Amino acid sequence: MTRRSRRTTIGLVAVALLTVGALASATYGTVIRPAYERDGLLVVLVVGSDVGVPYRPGDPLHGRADAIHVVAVDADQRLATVVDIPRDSLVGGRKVNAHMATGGPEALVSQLEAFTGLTFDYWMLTTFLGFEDLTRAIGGVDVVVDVPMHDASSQSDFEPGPAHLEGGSALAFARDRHSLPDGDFGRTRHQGDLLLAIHRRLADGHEIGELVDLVATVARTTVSNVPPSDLLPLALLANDIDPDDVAHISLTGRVGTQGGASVVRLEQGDVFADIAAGVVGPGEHPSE
Amino acid sequence: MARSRLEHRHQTSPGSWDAVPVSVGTHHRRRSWVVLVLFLAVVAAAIAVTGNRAVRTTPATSGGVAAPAFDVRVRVTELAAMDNDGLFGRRPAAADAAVVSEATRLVGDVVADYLDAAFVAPDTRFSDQPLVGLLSDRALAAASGGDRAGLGVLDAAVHKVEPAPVTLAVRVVTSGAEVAFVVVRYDARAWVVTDGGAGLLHQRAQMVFVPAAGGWRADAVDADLTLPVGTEGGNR
Repeated sequence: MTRRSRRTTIGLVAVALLTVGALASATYGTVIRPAYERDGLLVVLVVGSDVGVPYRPGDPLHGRADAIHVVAVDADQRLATVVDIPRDSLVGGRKVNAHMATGGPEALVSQLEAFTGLTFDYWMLTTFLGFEDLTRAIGGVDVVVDVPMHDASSQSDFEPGPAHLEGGSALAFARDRHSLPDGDFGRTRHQGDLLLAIHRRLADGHEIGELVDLVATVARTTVSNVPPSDLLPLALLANDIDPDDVAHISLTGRVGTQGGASVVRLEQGDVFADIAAGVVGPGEHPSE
Repeated sequence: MARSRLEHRHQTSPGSWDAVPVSVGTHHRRRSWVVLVLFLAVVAAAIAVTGNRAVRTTPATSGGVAAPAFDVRVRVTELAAMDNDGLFGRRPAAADAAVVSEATRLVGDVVADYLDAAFVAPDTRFSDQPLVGLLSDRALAAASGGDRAGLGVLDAAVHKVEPAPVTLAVRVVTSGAEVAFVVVRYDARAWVVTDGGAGLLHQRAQMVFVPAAGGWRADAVDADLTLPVGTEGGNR
């Protein structure tokens, strides 16, 4: 046998032995996830407070609710709808954002339940600092800037196009209304965009240990009435919802005044009635 | 067209070479084909007896020689907090070291007991009994309707088990002075003797433990279990 043929033979035999070794075993996998133990509709009120260290020291739970979003989830179908509510909306006879300042998150929930006809399962609140920390901790979020945004008040400085935001830049994008042709309506819509962008990061195929880290991050940067035992199942539910299965509805209305203050009379149509009827997620809605 | 080496020799070294009845080049190609056919036959045979089939065969063997228990060590790799005191301008409460130590010790005990029950103890190995002390109620409910083979619930004709030491890499998440989650990662290995021979059992797992009524329990699990040929494993 020549040297070359000897090497070839040895190589083939070695490969055969390795292959047999690798195949001479069987592997089984098991994945167990705690299910969110509630059927049907899950409704969460997500709020951004204008009070909180270091920007405005005080109790965040009694600040003005300057970002208000209703998140409705069909836990069975893994569909969701995010509805943005402008902060100057007339609800319960006054601006909606004022209810939390006088009565805390529960008062805001109570007013919005009466206004929308929905029952809120949880509320979740963050502050400027919490929002900055959250976006930083998850590695930033990706949005599309629709118009040039350059505003000294909010410190925004964006050109139109895709943008990766975290920390201060994410907060600036959420706060700027002066750069936007539709003012506060546009700002509210941008806040909803950020909420969806955060979900996209959270739903990005995480292993179980990473999900626990995300749960801890969200818990550290928010205040909520979610029981500790529901944190992980809710995180798993969020992780299990495809971002393409989330609808985004940004409410607008007629701007007017009441008592000398600028208010918005919402034109929500049947958005909340649809949600109450279980119509959640992208696609044609009866009210559209 | 390439010439064979023999042909080349005929041309360059006439005489004795002409008398060689079988060319060196031809002999080389024939031997390579034989080896290749043998190789393919071995691979085909291996594929025929292995794979991820879920075949129910004989019940798990009970009895056999008792083996030493898994030597489980715990290594805390990270301590994280989920307190939101920072939003209120307050300094988060420091984790209670004794509480953290106790929680990790208890979780370590749960994992050690599970490994011994699942893979070593003759009366319970490869059955679903070890899951009761491991999983939370809702994890048990979720597992009952699905595949549990990665946790060792499968028919396995194992006669002897020699476990290797296991180190649990542990991340602890605290809430105030309490422990909210304990995340455990480990690779457990054991030398097993089966009907078909001997080989390595390897379980790689990640588990999230939460405090429960009966003690710490795994509320979420990712587990892969590899068994050697001859174990005749199948899902239960």
